[in-house]
Amino acid sequence: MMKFPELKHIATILLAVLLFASCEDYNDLDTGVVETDQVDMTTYAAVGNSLTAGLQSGALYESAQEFSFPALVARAAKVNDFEQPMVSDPGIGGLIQITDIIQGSITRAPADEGQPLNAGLNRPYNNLGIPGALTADYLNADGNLLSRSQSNPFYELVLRSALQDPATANIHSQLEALQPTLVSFYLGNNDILQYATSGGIAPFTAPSQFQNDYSQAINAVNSLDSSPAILVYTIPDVTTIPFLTSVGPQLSSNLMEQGVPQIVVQKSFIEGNPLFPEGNSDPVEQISTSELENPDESLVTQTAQDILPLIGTSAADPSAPDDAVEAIQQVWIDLLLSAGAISEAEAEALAENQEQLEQTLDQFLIGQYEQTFGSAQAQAFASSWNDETNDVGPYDFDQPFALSPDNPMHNQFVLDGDEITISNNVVSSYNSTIQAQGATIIDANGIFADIVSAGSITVNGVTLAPEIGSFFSFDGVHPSSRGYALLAKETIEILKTELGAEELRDIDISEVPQGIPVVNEN
Amino acid sequence: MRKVFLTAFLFLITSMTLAGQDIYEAGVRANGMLGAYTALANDASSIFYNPAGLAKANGIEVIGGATFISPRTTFRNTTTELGPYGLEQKMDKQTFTIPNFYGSYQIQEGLTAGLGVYVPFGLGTRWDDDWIGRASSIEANIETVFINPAIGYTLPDFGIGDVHIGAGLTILASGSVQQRRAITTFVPEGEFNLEGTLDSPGYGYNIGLKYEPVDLITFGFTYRSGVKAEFSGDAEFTNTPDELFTNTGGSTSIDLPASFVGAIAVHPSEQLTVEFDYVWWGWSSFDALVINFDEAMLGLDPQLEQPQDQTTNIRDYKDVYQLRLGSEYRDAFVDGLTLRAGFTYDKTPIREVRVDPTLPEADRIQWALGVSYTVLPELTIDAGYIHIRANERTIEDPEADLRGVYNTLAYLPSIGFTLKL
Repeated sequence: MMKFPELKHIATILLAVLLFASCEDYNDLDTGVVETDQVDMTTYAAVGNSLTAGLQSGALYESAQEFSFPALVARAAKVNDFEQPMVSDPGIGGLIQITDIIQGSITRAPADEGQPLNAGLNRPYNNLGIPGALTADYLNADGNLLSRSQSNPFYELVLRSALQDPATANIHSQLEALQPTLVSFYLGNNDILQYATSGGIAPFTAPSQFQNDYSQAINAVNSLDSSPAILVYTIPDVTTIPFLTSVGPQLSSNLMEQGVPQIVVQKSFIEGNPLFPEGNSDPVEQISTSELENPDESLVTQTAQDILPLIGTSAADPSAPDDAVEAIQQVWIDLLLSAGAISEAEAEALAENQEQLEQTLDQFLIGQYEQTFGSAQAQAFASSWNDETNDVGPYDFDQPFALSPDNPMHNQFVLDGDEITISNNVVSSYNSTIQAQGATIIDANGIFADIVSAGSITVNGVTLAPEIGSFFSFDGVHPSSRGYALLAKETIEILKTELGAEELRDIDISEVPQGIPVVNEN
Repeated sequence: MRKVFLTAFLFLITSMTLAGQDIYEAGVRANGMLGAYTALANDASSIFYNPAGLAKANGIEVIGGATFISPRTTFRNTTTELGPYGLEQKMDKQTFTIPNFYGSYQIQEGLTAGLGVYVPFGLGTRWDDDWIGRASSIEANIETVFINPAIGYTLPDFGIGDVHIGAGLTILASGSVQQRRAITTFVPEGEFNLEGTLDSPGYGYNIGLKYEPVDLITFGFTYRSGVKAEFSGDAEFTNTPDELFTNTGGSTSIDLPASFVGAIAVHPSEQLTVEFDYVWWGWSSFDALVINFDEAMLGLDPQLEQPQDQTTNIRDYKDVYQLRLGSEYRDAFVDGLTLRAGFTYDKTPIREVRVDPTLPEADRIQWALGVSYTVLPELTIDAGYIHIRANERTIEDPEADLRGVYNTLAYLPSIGFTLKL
């Protein structure tokens, strides 16, 4: 059907020809920074840890930093001078790179291969996320920031010269210099995360301490001359990350096939406390069977992957490969070393002497018990442990690994039921603190819990499941670019609904490239 | 078996929107009238514009020339996932030389045969390697060369005025396609390059009718059939996982559209002609671009489960029309000087959701000027200039490849000669 443009249309066109025939763009886009009565996004500072920095797949690197959630929020607000401490690919931290995506084989880039790209910026970065940072680091409340920076290069990367002066060696000094109009404050994950990923061995920040550190930090942000709008983020449940959930179910089904219903695992001693009133002091309870199919009972860490095939290995079995026996013992020796219980020379000697190693471990365990419950109770424990007629103890590597109470799976590879309870209680206590600050809350915990309970969510046509390669990057702890995009999207949603920033651009998760780190042979 | 990593939604779709751009600039004289030439057509270039017009070409005619097309496009993204809002990115400045050549021989009064060579589809776009839309396209090119033998015949006088008819065989003799884009699914990014050449000639036909009931008015009508263009060549993957992609051969076919023109020319005086053409393009023939690969690849399956050897890019073009208005003024001021002017309004065949940077198409307005001067009785020099300004096109559809604002203009100077022996 033939259709002619209306005459008016033709006249407009003629006019357009005359007026615009040579200019390139018809009109300007409004590129002004989003600003409302409640929030001015001109100067946005993001305080946090690796989740704010945009770390993924084990490293902080440029191609991931581009999609950090604060960078995505800043772009959506049309902020064009949002500076981050960019690091060239493959970054700092040892990027996990896929060598075969079908087989699931990986390799790790050298930890320090990436180079800082804008270390010369003559003002603080807007993204002040320091991977590994604790809540105490905001004001350096515990005075240990400098010592932490000795073993963690990210403090130096983000804070740079501020580290030279004890007065400015904290995150707050950066905000004082920036005088931000909007602050996203997302600290607290690392105060509990390492406890969970170490199978309950590493310490966590006590909830009362966390409350002090956190409220002081928020008070300091509130007292800035720029009186910024503040967004605080709740802490997701650390026991639902793939680092702890991906290995167990696979292991469980493998063991079931072999007719092994459970493995035995060494547990931690726990004094009764508000987080876990019962405590854990019964000698028999030190070694427990672990029902792997029940995630409330035990979670196997991703770091256990290498040791799992050795289940059932016995030093007394002549057919057992030597390196399997050695590998099991070496993990114990490393544990003793890192606890400072033995020297390097002793470590080498123990590797050659099974009996000596067993005895050293017996003493170490009794020593730990004594530290926790005092010497009086330790004596009773020691006699029970060393009594070979009891089911539990002493160590004996001639027994099958992880199947005998005398040769248990190492504590650091399993977060057991008690430790899960403690971890959950810590997180919920932290979150009460965070929610009590009077700041605008972004419920990262709730968002993540919804994904976990539903199994996955689909946003902008992209399905995100709480698994590696989907919501999570390949380290099993940190989100992928699209996972971060979801966090950015939720942040924008709250900025719109609670702070009236309606002009913010929406984020379409499908527009964010997957950016899977790979090593290619060609 | 459950995959180790839950990775899905790898897409590898090749876009060749570029094929959606016809080049109507097949003769320098017609260029001056912006292609409103189907009724007036009376020289060897009638082979393209209306083979019936060939009947009016006397003796031996040789027409040659070239149009130099310089498109200029800017893109400003309105999404912010990949870069700052409103950042202007300019397409690389390229100039495409589009040649044309026609020869005709008058066998007898009212019967002329001829041969034309022209390029009705053939342009390219190139953006910076690291530009924001690199996952859509960095570089795309298409070229088609047609050879068109034709014949024009004046029907015996029935007493209803002059009636001319014509027909030709349109042979797609040579052609190539190429596209290169980044694969941002991976870090570091990979690249995909597809290059193909025409497998075998494609055939079609064109027919025409020209009717002059009275001296004052000429009607013209022409129809060109569609032509199937089959390309095959190489698909090359750079910096991508071997377990997903392999360098292999690939092939595709594009249904170049049919078109027809209905035209009326009015001759108020011996010297002046004003012509209006309605041009219809059957672009709905271009419903999808399917690429077939010689080897199946796992990377082509969004679920990474079953190797695939085909990708399909839905194009779903619309049939469109163009309105072309042109005028010619002969022996203006001095003998042998002809002046021309033209104006058109083009509708784009590409729906918003299908617009991508291989060809940022929009409805367009164009104006043209042309001049011919007969320097010798046998030799005329022709020149023309067309200016194209596309309407600003804002892509907002979330399903679209790249959302933002495109602005395009193009300069098309042309020069040629006409020999009448």
